[in-house]
Amino acid sequence: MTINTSMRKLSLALALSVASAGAAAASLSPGDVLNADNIVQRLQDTFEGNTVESLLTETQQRLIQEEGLVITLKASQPVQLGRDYVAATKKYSDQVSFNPETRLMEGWVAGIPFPSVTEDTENAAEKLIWNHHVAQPTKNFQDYPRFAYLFVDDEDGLERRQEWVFKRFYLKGRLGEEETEIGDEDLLFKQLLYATYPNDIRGLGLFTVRYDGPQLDDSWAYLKSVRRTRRLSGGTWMDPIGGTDQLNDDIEIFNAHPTWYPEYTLLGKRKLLVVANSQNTSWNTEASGTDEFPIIDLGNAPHWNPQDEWEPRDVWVIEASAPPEHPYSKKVMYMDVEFPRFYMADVYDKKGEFWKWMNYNLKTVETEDGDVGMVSAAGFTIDYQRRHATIFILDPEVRLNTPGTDPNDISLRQLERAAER
Amino acid sequence: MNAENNSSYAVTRSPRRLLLAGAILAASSGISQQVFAEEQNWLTKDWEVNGYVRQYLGVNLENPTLIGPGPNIFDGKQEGDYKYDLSMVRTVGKLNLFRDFRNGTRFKLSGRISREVETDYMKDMQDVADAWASTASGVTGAYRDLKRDVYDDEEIRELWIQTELTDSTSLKLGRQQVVWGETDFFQLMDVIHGYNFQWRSFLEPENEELRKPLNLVNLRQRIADGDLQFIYIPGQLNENSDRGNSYDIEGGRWANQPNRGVQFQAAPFGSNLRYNYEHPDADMDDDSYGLRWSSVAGDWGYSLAWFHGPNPNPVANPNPATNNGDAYKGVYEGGAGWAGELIFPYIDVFGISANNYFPALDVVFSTEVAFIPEAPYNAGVTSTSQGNGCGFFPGFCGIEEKNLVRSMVRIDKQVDLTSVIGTSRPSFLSLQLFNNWITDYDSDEGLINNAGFSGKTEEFSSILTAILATNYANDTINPSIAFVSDLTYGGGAIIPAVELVYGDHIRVRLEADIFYHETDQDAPLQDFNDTNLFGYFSNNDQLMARLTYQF
Repeated sequence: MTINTSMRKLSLALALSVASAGAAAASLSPGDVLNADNIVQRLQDTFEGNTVESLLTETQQRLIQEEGLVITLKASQPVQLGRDYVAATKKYSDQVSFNPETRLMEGWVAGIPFPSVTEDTENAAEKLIWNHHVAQPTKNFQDYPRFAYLFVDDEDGLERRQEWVFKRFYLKGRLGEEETEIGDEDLLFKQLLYATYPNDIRGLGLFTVRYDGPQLDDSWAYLKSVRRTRRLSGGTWMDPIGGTDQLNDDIEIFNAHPTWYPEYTLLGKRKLLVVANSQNTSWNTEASGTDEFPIIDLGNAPHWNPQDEWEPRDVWVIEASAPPEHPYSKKVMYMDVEFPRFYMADVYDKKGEFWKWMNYNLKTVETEDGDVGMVSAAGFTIDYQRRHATIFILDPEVRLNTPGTDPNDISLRQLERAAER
Repeated sequence: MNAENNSSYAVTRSPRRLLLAGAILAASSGISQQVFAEEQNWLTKDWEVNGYVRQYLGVNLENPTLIGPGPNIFDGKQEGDYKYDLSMVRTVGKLNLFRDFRNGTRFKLSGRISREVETDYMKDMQDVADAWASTASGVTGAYRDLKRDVYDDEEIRELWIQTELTDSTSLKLGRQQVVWGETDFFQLMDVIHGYNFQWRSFLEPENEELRKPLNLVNLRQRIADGDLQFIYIPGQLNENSDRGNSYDIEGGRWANQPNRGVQFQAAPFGSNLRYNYEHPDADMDDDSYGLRWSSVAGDWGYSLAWFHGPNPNPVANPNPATNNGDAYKGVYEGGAGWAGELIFPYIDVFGISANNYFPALDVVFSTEVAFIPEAPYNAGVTSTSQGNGCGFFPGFCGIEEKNLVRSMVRIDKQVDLTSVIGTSRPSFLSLQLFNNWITDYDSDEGLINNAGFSGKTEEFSSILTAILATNYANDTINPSIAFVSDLTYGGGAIIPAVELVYGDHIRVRLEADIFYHETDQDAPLQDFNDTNLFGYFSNNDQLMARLTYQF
């Protein structure tokens, strides 16, 4: 069933509902839920002064009505940004410019390069993507001792899981330090990713270097089964990550250099229900079965829906047109207006058919140096054509800006060391 | 006589292991005192435990040659028809314990136990081996019991402690595996360890399971973006049998065609060929060591390495008393009536490797070159039975030392077959060309590729390999095919396989090993001919199923 068909049915149902029940719109409260049983009746209800219909994308409405998604409403709450992040934005953003000829940003040092984008700003969409590319509100070092990929089938539920360690170290745009750059001036970040579970992939690892430029990443894999590193193709940025439903390009919804996509369009600004301050536990390591991951509705088909609290936030709606060789035709992505992080994306195949929905449950955590940063407590990539999902789950023991780390700690040698376990 | 025997093997093993364990215990005691003061449960917490139980089933897809002595010794007949018989019923358990003490110190212990069922095919190979051995005066049975001595196994695979001496210096001490180089299938710089090719030949996809670990010192120094690694292998702290490659000379299922049922350590008429690990120029008590520098230059990853240690492959040192050949460096230490002894002369290997990704072609290019001065080769293309030979077997004229350059070039590419064969993501394709070049080649020397066969070594030789690995259904169905072609001596192998993934714990691998060749030898100990690498695998096509429960 296409999304257009769904929407026609939804509209018809809405019209019938309004005609029969009259237009008695209610004001919803935090804790109220939107589900398949009530969504038609509640579309014209309001929450914090906005109609429910206006707070939901067409995809969200369809998922509630047809796919069992339940949205619990939460009062909107300001998102706290890091003090060093805000300070760097104020200090350096005036000197940044965008070159439409090269599609590159110039003059950026640290913080959000284009914090004052409006719908009328020239090249607004590209500038927002650049904000996302260089100024994630995560501070200098993402140090995730454990995250999981859960593989979920719509009939069988949780099929299997993988557990990984992730470390991403930014060499540029560093916050809260005397110097904003460290190490190789050509690099934006260095990254280690290695598996710890299950046993057949334990020790499989990746070391990736992302350049501060349009060239493709350099990456190496450590294959424990042969105890050796191997250079990888940099052209895999648009390929799936292992057996997941995610492309490399889908990590945190968008993981490509801005110039790798040929075109971005700003579709507008709106208020949407998103998970900006995740309230549910992502991973209860003391529990088992469906209780282990409370943030997912594993117990009910299709077993992959997020269980969290959703609040209204102002978001940019950005359409990214994929290059011809990319499996997607486009991604429609929803970025917070106050900071460059995506909450959701609708993904379309080459025929223009709806393919995947991505949803990230964001959460602000204290960094190791007493500031704050943002992480994804969970990330859902759901393939509605193949009826399969891959869910990223972050161990609550996450660390940001762990002290005592330098660029050489994120290296091929460290990958080998980490993977030999 | 210094060749390995069962009793010395058992006696020497324990003290060395104890010594190693003691060193590790001593090293770890420092940690314990520091941490214990802070936490009462420091000893039991944070251990990572994992491993697997694995069942192999192998089936012959051909009737392997198995010929014992006949009434007139060399007129024996094929023992039976073993086509579709079980060739391997092997159960393996592996347990790994790992702990990161979070102060830069890490510890790992890994043990593996293997047990085999004695199949009818194995019994017959043992019977034939007993019969051949008994042709010698005073010998009543084979040198090895295949099940007990060759296939059943229990082993400490890893036992090491790693610590950071400084911010840039790490030391890893104990039993471990260190792999250098880039090349698949073949050993250029991957010469620190030998491989055990006896139970599965070269076919196990996880070659860490075939590699023979060693007790060694592994010191790494970070210098800017580079890494300087020093390896030191104390000869006396390692078992002799853990050095060099172990081929099936016990007449088992991976013995070279047509030698199943022929154990060279207890060969017909006492013309034995046993390992000598204490030859003056091939003494496994001597230490081995090496240095490697690896770094990145621009977009290129590269390494430079040197290693001094035993030649990976054994060569036959002829007994001058039974052959018209010369002993290596004038020294032969085997039995008086033997054909010779197998030794691993010490060599130096100098290597360089490099890799880069080329976006325009979307390929990863890798290369490796190793130079081995004075690499040992057996000489003597013919046996005495063929005329002009030095001994009963080809290759027993002596050991010649030649300058050998081994090289490899390889391209890896992601090939999008999603719309062609419906894979769920782009597939991995790897093409590799492996070359040998003897720079001071002299055809008149009559170098051969393997003692016991008349395949003459060429100045240049090359082998092409290709691997295509595909994925379906979120990588739960993973078919692959490997292709190997010997461009110089002919023959090759085709290995189709599929790996199936069920949940977190169950893995299944189904694999066919199909070999082809130009020349092979029909019967053991006679009619030697121009048989080379893939002739050794003649009549050994296999079907293999592997079920793994991992935890």
